[in-house]
Amino acid sequence: MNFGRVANVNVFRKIRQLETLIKPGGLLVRSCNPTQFPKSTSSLANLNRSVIPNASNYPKCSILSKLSAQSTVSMTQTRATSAQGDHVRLWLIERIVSASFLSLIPAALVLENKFIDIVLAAAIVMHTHWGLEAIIVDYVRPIVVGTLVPKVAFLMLNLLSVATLAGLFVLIYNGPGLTKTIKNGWAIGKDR
Amino acid sequence: MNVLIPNCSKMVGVMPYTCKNALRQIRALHTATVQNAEAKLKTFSIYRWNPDKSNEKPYMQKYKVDLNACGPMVLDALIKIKNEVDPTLTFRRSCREGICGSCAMNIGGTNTLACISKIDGSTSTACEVYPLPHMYIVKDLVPDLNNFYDQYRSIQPWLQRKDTKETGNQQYLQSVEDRKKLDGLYECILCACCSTSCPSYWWNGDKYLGPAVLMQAYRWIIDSRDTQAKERLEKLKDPFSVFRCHTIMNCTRTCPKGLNPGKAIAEIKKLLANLSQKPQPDLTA
Repeated sequence: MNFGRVANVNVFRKIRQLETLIKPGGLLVRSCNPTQFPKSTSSLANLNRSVIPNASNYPKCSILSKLSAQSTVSMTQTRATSAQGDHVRLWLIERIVSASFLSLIPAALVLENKFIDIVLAAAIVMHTHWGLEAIIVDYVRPIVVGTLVPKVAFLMLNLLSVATLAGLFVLIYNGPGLTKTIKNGWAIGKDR
Repeated sequence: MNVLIPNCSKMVGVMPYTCKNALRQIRALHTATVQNAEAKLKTFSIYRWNPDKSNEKPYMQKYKVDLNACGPMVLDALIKIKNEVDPTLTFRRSCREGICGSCAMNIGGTNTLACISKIDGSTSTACEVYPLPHMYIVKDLVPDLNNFYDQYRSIQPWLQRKDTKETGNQQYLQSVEDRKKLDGLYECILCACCSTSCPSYWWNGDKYLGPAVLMQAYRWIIDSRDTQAKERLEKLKDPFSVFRCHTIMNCTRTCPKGLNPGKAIAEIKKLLANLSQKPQPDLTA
């Protein structure tokens, strides 16, 4: 059948590609240049080239060629832009803050100390800020909602975080304190 | 039977009835198992979309397959449908034994390989078959995996060394213990079940590399013969490549080969944050 024949041709081509990969001194030597990374067009150009015209050889598979061309183009662009920046330190701080709650929350509840309340308030706001930020990155994507809405969403998030922190500080400095407020909340109806 | 038939045609004029009966008996012998059991019709509800009819929306088409006359796996049913009912049904398949990763699809809500997932025997429920979720579809059950393969290419999945030996003369040595570190990583067949089950990959598949590719990245990072671990890690430290992983663990749950990409990603994060180090190779040379 036609399907089988197409598959066969592709298999042979793949084997040929593999041969070029295995061939010593070819890709191995060139590949060690780290700057080539985000572009899949550099050292792997021959691989890419062999993918796209393959599909266009078959008139019936015109949609294939379109798809692959599009996806490789978008891929090179986005990979290049996303490959900037260093997220390692921020990730480490996120983990430390998350883990610190294990000791911070019990300590704050037991000691009812102003200083620990301030630390807890800051940690909670940071933690929720990162969480909501991740939600915005995931669900308010420029590709879906346009470029303006994500910016507005991030601005709103910043305002929300600042307002939350300010509110918690008001509780701590002008009110009964953060943990005391929580305890008061649980005590409602107890003295009846 | 083949021997009998020419004989029969010669005898048609003489003893037509005896011959017919003999044929019937032989036929009955061959199909006995099928006829004795009642036809066990299982409904397969399969996602269909044809790019040539661009104004037509994707729809679910129902096929009934007799499980008594079909192999045990979903792929057997698909092949049976393609052979006997609807030759336009399109899907990828090759090895039919779970080693090539071609037939990855969403069966009953789980990403898995059609060739190694058993057909549920109860005929009251339909078996729903979709292509891998959140991928562009080429036709029916065939997703466009170009982005996935591009991402795999981008991690440079081959051995890299600062010193290249003359080929054909010497081997790169690796101790048994160092080799053991690759177990559970090298078995990946790149079927894309895990990546396409990951919500982070659904939302940011253009920038986040996805569990399958990251597990292969880790496989090359910790290979004791590879000297470019630092360079490899350097490329992964941006906010998207690795750190879009929120440890949802759909990848590990769905992997048809029983691998653990979630753990590999966690190990990459630890290596990136210097919380762990790549161990020195036991054998150098």
